Amino acid sequence: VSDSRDDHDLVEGVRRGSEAAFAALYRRHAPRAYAVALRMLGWRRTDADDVTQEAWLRAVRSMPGFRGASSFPTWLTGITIRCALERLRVRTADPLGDVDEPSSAPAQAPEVQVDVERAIAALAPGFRTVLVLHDVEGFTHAEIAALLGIDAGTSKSQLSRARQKVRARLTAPLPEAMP
Amino acid sequence: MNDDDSPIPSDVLPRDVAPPAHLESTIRARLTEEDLLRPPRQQWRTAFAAAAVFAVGVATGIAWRSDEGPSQADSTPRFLLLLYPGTRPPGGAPDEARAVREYAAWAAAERARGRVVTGERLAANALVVGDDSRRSESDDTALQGFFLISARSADEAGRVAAASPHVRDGGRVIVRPIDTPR
Repeated sequence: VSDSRDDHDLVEGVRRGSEAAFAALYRRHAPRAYAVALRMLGWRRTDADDVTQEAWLRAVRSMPGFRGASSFPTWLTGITIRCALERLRVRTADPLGDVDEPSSAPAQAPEVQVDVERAIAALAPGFRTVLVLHDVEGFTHAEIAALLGIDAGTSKSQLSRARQKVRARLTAPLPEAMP
Repeated sequence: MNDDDSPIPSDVLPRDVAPPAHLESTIRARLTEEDLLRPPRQQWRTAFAAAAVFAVGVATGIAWRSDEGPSQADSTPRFLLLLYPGTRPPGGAPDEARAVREYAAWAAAERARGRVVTGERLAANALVVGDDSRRSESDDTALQGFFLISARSADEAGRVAAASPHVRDGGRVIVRPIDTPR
């Protein structure tokens, strides 16, 4: 059952500790945040679960300071991205981190979607992050540069190389190329 | 190669992906644990828990004072503040949790000044023993709670009572000095 209250009212409700308001807000916006986490983390579901959980915990803890300058989903997406970046940094620091859980691109989805998801998931984390943020989430290079602590030129060149890799994978006669 | 730098076909990717079903309850449990969320059915329980914490806090204060030896409470007059409902009708549903927080904060502040000795909220039932032919039934259950305080004078006790959340919420407080044998 969907809740007809707008996000502002639901955020107010969560601030007051309403579990019902939290449930409505979560069901409305969690799928979007989860999709962002999954793609940034190369469809590693355990990581995406952890990141989504951490993002919601941080969001609710920070709600007293949420002034509504951006919409709630935009704000939540920002938190989710930061949590995902932290997780990627931990994985990068751990030499075994990238092999302990296989990627799991969606099994029940149109073939073309599966191909694109797998091609993105197979990218190295740096390329994948820039490509997901720019081509899927619509961030500008300036925004990506600020989020990642790189300059906009680096973001552009990373995106260009990421696109080439995805395209090469999509046109290659794969079929056993699952990352 | 000219085409290589165009965006990937992201329009085939869904904007939403359903998270696993267990995730919502896991997050909710964490938030409840941190007291950031309160299930509706537990609000009363929370309120009672807060009241219990308050009572323990008061009791701890007494124990602490008794460890310190003779205290201000031993040497200054004591007064019983009897809390009754006021004539102002309650406006809307009472926010129990908020009331408990306010009472706890008020009692803690007064305790820090060495005034509140103890206090309890009374249940809404009463067992009447002995001759009560001159009293109406409503009198027996009207008393809602009490605080035992120490104050230098009846005026000071009155000021403490007037500043209490009970009066602020429209309640009535009767201040009775404890009659100490000299």
